[in-house]
Amino acid sequence: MANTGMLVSMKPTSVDHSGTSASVNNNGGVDFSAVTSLSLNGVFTSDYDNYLMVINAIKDVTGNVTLGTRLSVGGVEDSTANSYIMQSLIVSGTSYTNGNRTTENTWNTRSPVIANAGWNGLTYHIYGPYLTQPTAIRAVTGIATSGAYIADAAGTHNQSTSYDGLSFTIASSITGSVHVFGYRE
Amino acid sequence: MAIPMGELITPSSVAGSGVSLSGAKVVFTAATTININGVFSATHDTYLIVVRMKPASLNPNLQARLRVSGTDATASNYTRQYLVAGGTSVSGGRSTESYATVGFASGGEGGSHVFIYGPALAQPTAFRSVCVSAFADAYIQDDACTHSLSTAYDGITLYPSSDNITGALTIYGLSQ
Repeated sequence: MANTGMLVSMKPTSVDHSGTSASVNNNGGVDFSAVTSLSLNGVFTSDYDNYLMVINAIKDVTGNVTLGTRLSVGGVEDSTANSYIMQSLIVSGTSYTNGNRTTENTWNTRSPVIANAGWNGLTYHIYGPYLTQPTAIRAVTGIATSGAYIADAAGTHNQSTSYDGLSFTIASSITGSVHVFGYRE
Repeated sequence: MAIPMGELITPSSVAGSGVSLSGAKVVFTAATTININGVFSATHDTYLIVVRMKPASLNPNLQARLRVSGTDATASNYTRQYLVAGGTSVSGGRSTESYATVGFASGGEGGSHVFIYGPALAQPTAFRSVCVSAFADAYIQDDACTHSLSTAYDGITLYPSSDNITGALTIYGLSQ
């Protein structure tokens, strides 16, 4: 039977990391343990415009940490100054006013999103990373801080470059998994 | 056997200036109206539209009207609740409209995920969109909308509230 499913697993052609371990699993996702950086290469292609990335992770020691993300091509990160803009929306208890916008050389979450208090879930919608046009992302999160915490974000990147991968940088080590899917066209 | 979690749907037809089909993908260039026919059916209850878009120069909302047999539902039977975050400002509001709002396009490239619950069922329809736009370089706009008529629809019209938009979209059936 022809597979007409919505999502196609984008198995990385290679992964790089700093820390204990990171490897591609049988389903095409990446399992990682105690890493402070992780690069997924070859996950964006000309076959698809838009992608879904699912992260499930926990910080290895007490506290919580932000997550930095950069687009890459051929394993080389794009670190162009002021090219990554990120708008945050943070909801904690009765407070929802802690929005903020940052312009940096990485998409850096304004709020910590990987907590040691429990496992954290992050879903990224990624629009057009392989197209030679600016890329947009939208993050929808469930964070374990204070039991449950929202740290959603919208990001844009102003370079009209075709990217085939992305990289994460984390100030303190995390353990978990990440999987990138293409939306079938 | 593994069961796919969603099915890519090819519209039976599309219409509008600058609107065309590329396989199942609806491609639009400088479009002011995107008519999409024959995408909702008894096969699925819930649908997802993934759209990337860029406006020509203004800051339009992406609006939607359900349609059946090529005719839009244009009466004021839509209710909209929105949540926006720009800079340090967060706000929301509710209004009654003749359309649903399912995204916001501004500046450069952006996108929206639009979930549509029960459009082909003879019951009210619900919408939920999660959007990123390049307004002020990065901006969050989420919308929840309902349509109160108990009519079964087979299509949808998307259009910018002003200006024109360029981009592409795909539609998936999610559940049954």
